[in-house]
Amino acid sequence: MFAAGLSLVMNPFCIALIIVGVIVGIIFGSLPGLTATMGIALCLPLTFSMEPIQGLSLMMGIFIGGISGGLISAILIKIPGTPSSVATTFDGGPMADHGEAGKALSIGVFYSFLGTLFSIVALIFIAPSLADFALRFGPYELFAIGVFSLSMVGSLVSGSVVKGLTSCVLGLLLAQVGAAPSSGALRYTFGFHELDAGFDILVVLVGLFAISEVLASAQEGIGTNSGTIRKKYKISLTGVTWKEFKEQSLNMIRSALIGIGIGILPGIGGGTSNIIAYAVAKNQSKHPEKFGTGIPDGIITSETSNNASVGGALIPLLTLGIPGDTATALLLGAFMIFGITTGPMLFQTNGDLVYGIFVATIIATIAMYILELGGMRIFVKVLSVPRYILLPIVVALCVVGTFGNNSRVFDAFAAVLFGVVGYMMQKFEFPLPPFILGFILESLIETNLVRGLMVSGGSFLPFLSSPIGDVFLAIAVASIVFAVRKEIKNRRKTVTAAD
Amino acid sequence: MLTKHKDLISGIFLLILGVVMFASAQTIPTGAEMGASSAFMPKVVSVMLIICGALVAIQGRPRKEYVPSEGGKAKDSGRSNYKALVLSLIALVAYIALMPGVGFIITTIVYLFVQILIFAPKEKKTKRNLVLFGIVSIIFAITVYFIFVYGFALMLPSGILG
Repeated sequence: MFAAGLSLVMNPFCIALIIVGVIVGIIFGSLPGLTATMGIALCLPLTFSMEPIQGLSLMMGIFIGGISGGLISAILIKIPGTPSSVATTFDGGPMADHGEAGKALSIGVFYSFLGTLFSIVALIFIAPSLADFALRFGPYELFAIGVFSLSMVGSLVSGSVVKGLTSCVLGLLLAQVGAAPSSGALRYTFGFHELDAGFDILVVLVGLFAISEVLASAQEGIGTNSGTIRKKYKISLTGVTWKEFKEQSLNMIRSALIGIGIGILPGIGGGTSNIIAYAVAKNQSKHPEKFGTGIPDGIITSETSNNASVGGALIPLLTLGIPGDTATALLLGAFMIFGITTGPMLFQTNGDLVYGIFVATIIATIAMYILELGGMRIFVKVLSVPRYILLPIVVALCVVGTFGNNSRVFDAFAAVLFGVVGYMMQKFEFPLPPFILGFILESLIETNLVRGLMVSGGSFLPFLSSPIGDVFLAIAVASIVFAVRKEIKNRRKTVTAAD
Repeated sequence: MLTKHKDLISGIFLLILGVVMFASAQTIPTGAEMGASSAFMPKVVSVMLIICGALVAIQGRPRKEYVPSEGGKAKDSGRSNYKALVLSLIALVAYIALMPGVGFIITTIVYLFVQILIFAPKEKKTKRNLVLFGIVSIIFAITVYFIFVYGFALMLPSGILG
């Protein structure tokens, strides 16, 4: 079957499609305001006249290029190109500030490559059993995972834990705008029907990171010197030395596993895994205080996990017909258009196609690596445009993106609103990442809380009955305890320092 | 002055916000659901917000000895330019508001030009550069329009041009 899959893909047109897809994906991924999902959605109509394998190859190319492309803008202009690269800005930005942008970019690309490869291997060899295992995750387990992920907030903040917690709570609150999970009752919409579906993650991301940056830049001023990124770049093949690679291998493997795991879970994907992987890496590191100052660890964990989520999200899609995240939901749509039913029988009925997709994904990964490294000079040149010209262009793109998402101006206004929120948060020293985490995870947590309560008949006790769930909840509690202790220690330090 | 009382102000604001959200949550239609009601999470989270707001305010309460503010980017250097901030905000809102009516291309060109002008440091605002800004704005707006509308079939308002 593998050979059949190989022969399906190994023809000039298909390979050309993959490469074009990766290029389109990288462009969409690296431009703030446009996302990989949008790229897939926009190119979907182009596939109507193609053979299934061709259309799907194109989609995979866009998917992989898109998820990885976010790192480029994250590092060079500190605005994440996609939600999957939010955590890359934490250390990528500082590294660029220190003149190490070339190294940061090389690391990002290399580990994106490794992350995808890792997850594809997992996909090929253990997909069915992984999917089986994931099926056993019911509301209790998913709720516990959601809570556990939230508890990682403590590790994300370097400053006041209370403020981090507050940011997270704000994110949770704003995610509740719209229809409630099971009943559909409208919450916090104040009569605005555009809010019935809640705020889109793109709108929140663009507002919080890109527009707030514009507002802050306006207020703080863009000096002539700080206006451009003019340093010489040394792009290397891997960004790390052999020694560094060995040191980081634990980080890489753990981040990849987190990425695959979160990718498999329905509803959350690269956007969540990069932040969680970062928090876990920081937690487990021997030098957590260095995170955020510009160390390779941060970029490695973020980029490995977000790309690993690509393979992870494909697992439930191909084996169960359940999309792992929004991009795979579109892929599912593509399958339906081609008249293919995914699910357990897919391997039997369309085995060649499935292996063809595997091959296409591998080729796309390699293409991404080559194109990103090779094209890096172009990206850098483009993003080296003086900031006072670049930022307005980024904003215009964000307006296009948010408007085009649902063809309504309301979303663009909402992005501006979040821009103001993000700006205020930064002025009052509230960290942004916990907000995003709370926003993304609210749905997972509440939906499964409601489902779990329905199953248990309204009682909370059964939530503790699942062993897997208990493990996650226990870790969550431990994280919270540690975070509180850290905060108390910090308090004590500032008080004694002030004496 | 604002710096020292930052936390106190934000804390109180959030506390009030939490109360408002909690009150608003009372009006969420409930009943007929099994499990948690639709108002459950909103109420829980707004209470959490109230607590957090209180904690932040307490953290920021005026104290006798000077407590350095927590990390973060407290860039209160003398170069604060609130006029530019307000102008940028107005420009952005106007851009979005006018886009459907006047059309993507024209509003984008105008917005880009205006925003670049707001940002550009004085030394860069030479006549030659002004022309450059104008050209950049025009090329960008038209290119994006054509790529998205004709390449991707993503509708952007054509406004008075179409």
